[in-house]
Amino acid sequence: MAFRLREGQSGIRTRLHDLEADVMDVVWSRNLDHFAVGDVLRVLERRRDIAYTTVMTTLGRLHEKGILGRQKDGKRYVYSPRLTREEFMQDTAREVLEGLEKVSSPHAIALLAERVSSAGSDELEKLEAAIQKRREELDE
Amino acid sequence: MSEAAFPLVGTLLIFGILLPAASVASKGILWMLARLDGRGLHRFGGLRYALLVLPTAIPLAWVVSASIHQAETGASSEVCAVAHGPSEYCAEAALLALGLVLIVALAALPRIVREQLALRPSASADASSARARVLAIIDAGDSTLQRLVRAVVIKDDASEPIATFGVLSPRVVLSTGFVQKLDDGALRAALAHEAEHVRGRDPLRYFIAWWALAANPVGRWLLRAELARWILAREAHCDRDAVVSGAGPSALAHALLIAARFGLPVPQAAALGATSTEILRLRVDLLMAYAERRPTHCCREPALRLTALAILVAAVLPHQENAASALDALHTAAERAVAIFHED
Repeated sequence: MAFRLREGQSGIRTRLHDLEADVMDVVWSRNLDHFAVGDVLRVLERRRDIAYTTVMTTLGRLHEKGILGRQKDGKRYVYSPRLTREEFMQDTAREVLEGLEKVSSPHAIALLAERVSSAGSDELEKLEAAIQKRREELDE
Repeated sequence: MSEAAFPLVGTLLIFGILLPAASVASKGILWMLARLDGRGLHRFGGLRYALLVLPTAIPLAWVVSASIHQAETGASSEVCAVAHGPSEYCAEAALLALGLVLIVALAALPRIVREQLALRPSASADASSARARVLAIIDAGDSTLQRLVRAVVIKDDASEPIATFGVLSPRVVLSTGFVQKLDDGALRAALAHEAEHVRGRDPLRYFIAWWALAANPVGRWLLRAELARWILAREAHCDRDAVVSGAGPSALAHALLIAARFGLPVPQAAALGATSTEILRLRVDLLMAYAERRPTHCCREPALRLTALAILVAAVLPHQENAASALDALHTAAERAVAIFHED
């Protein structure tokens, strides 16, 4: 599986286009093990206007990329995820690390996190706000 | 020919040719591994670690061991006899071993001393209250956290917000300010991450890897990025294990961000920046994936044991019969190099 990494994106959007990411988000967050186009369409329709054929094409693309498997079931395809979100993110992390041209000098001590420059502060504030929201949802 | 010739020229050959050649081979294997290993972040962690350390450790262990073996007989080796005559004992191999051991020790000693100094706790009221809070969280935690009961040091002036130090006996050093900034959930998650570093004896692993590259300048140039990647994968692995042991994924993500932004702006800001932000985001993304589906234990590879076994084999081999002939070849090469220099 070779993906083009998308700069400035985070999470599964680092390797997937927006609609592909939305579809996979539905699949993973709802633990859909075997599903048809209609199952995904029903969830996405609640969020936006979207055509059956658009979802069908996107699922086909995800199948070609190796993220979804599929089997014929009569006239339709039944899809199933080949990777969990964690496995997909681990692959993404590995690709990003392999592709980093300039890896900073390795810290020789076990740090929780390497400290970042003030240049990235705005972005990290947004990230922190998103994490805080997620913490409240999960009650952690 | 002076007895210092072989120890000096031999050392140059080891550090100038033998270690760089081993590092090139290691880099090649790591490159192939990256292409063969199409999946996951944590696979082959132990093998990758060994490939970072062994290009330095195996040749040095082997040469030191072979030199000791040759010197312990008390007899002059055939190669020595060429320069000194058969009846005269030559101490060249022993001097080479001594020189290499000194180089290794001198490279490591300052860091060990610095680490020991970093483990001195503060005695202020703030530090005591932070310590009491940390111990209460550890007490209420599971067996993973319990291993930190005697391994926590609180410092008002810690160089890092939270880190695990101690090559021989790992300790988690927390800055008082960092403890005060975190709520209980995030503090518990940060401690669970460090508990995995303590369990894995990571200060020792990191120290050996750091030493291997410090003693091998060409290897450092070739393998530094690989070491950085290995360390980042290891940190992500500790995040994962913290979640497996019950830490909240988003609580840990919160702690990561507080640690990353602790004491901003940092003086070395220009040196960090985009790369570390990107990596931090990746780790947060992974943690968010764990929030959806809890991970299970995986990939505990015996990095240290694998590396120690390879070094042991390298150290034992020269003590077998006729196994020191490679040292003789090195010795001969050094003598020839000196002879060529003399002829000029």
